[in-house]
Amino acid sequence: MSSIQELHSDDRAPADCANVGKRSRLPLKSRRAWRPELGIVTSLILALPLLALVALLLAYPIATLITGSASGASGWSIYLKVLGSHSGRAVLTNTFVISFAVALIAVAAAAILAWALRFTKHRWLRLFIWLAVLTPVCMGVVMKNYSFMLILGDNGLINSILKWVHIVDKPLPLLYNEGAIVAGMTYSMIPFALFPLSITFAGIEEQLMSASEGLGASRSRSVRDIFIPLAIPGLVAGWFVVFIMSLGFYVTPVLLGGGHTPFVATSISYDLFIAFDLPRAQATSVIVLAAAVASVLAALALVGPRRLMRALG
Amino acid sequence: MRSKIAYRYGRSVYGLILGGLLAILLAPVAMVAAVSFSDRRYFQFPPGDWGLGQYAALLKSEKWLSAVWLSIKVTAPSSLIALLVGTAAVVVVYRSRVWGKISLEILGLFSLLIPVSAYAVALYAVYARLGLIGSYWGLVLVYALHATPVVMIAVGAGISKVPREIEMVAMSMGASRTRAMVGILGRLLLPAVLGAYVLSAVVIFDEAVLVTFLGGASLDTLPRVVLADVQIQVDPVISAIATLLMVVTAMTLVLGSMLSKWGARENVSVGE
Repeated sequence: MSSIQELHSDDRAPADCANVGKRSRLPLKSRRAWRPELGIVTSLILALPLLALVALLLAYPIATLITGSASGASGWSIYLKVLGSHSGRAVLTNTFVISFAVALIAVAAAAILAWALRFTKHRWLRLFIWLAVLTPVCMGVVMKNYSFMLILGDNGLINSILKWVHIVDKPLPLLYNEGAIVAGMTYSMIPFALFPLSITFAGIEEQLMSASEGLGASRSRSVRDIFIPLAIPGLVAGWFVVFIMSLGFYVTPVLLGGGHTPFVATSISYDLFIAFDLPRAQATSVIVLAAAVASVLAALALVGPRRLMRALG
Repeated sequence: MRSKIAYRYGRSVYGLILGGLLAILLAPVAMVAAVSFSDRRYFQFPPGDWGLGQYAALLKSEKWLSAVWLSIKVTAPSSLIALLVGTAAVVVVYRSRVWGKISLEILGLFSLLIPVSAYAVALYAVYARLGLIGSYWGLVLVYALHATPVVMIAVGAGISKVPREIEMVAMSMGASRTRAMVGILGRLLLPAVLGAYVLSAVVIFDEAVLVTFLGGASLDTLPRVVLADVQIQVDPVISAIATLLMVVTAMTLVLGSMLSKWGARENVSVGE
């Protein structure tokens, strides 16, 4: 009997406490209770440097970017001018199409590598894959593209080999076009696509596939119906991260595309350093920025914030 | 039977694709290294005339050495500022009761997604108005913010492995909050913090876009000079720089990952 009462009182205890907390606010205790977490003042002081840097060097410049784009002679109609002109449209469509393709190829290549990392039984192959993937990271942004110039140029590796075996007499125009930009950007982005994908693939249980194969499915069927559906969120998150990063690429389009291949980066650098047309460069930047923000929102809606954050770091 | 043949056929095709991918990933490094050890002015196949001429030219060149020195002078303070700013913010995210602290982390992560060329134009307009184009400290501060997300990711990975209970024990035994944070969290986090410093230094040393816009006439860091040079003509000395830089970067990254691994192991043993 007493044990039942105890049980009852135990059951009621939390509810009672909550009621007490709601009715009387326990003025002394709730305000002055010592807590192990950092307080508001300390937290603010610690976060202040970051908030100040973000306000001064991120929020303020981007606000200025938007207002500044309208400060030219044509005001807000600069956007109509950029979007309406043939060159402006070519720059934007080219940037989007190239970034789209780069993200697709990079994710496909990363998926092949991640598959090998997930299922190979050879330690040396896993080590070799990581080594090969980390070389683009170690090379540095400018050096990667310099090396692609050495490979694709008129006197470069590919043309020299083709000339040496007498397949061509004149060098093929491999450099300074869209194809060169796609090659260089994909090369830079494969590691960024692989990092999240290898985590996604590692989280997929192999037993699920062996189970489906044990139940009579072929290998290709279990890949198609078990593995790919589980991998799709990671693939989509990786695609978005690569696409968004590709929109802002500067070094690769400038070096491998040359001055005449339309891309946002080349257009901005032309407007700023040759035509001295700051508002036009700003308007182009605002459009790219808006596209990036829209893509982030689309990614958030499709794969959710947690997966996207994991894909980032 | 047929499916078995198809499977084997598919496997060998997959192996070929994988091998091709790995070859493509390694080709640029091999290319740069081959050019750097050849004394020719232009690349030719088959490669030959092996020698150290490019490295000798690099050591004699005032232009490249001063660019390297300026890059070091910019990288050291800005990665230090990034480290302090980022670590403080991470401590707030993981060790405070303030509402909305998670937005700090989101802020740090999503700033990675801002298109660099658009951001460079935004900064260029502000700096041009304030007369900060070519200013050393202006560039250092921009780089500090640029590397802060990297620091936050690296230190955040470290701090999430430090069990809070140890600090609680220290505080319950009479240590002040500051003492517990510095003496326990600070000490356990040190390897991750050092790893983050290495990582942010690599990111800043390599940055070419922002300095191209903000550097003005005076701030010629190494990536900027290479970027400007390569647009006009391909100087084979750059291949020597690239090879050296890659070796140094790879060694630095290995050092950084060893530091954070060392930290993780220490934390696990403490947790047990």
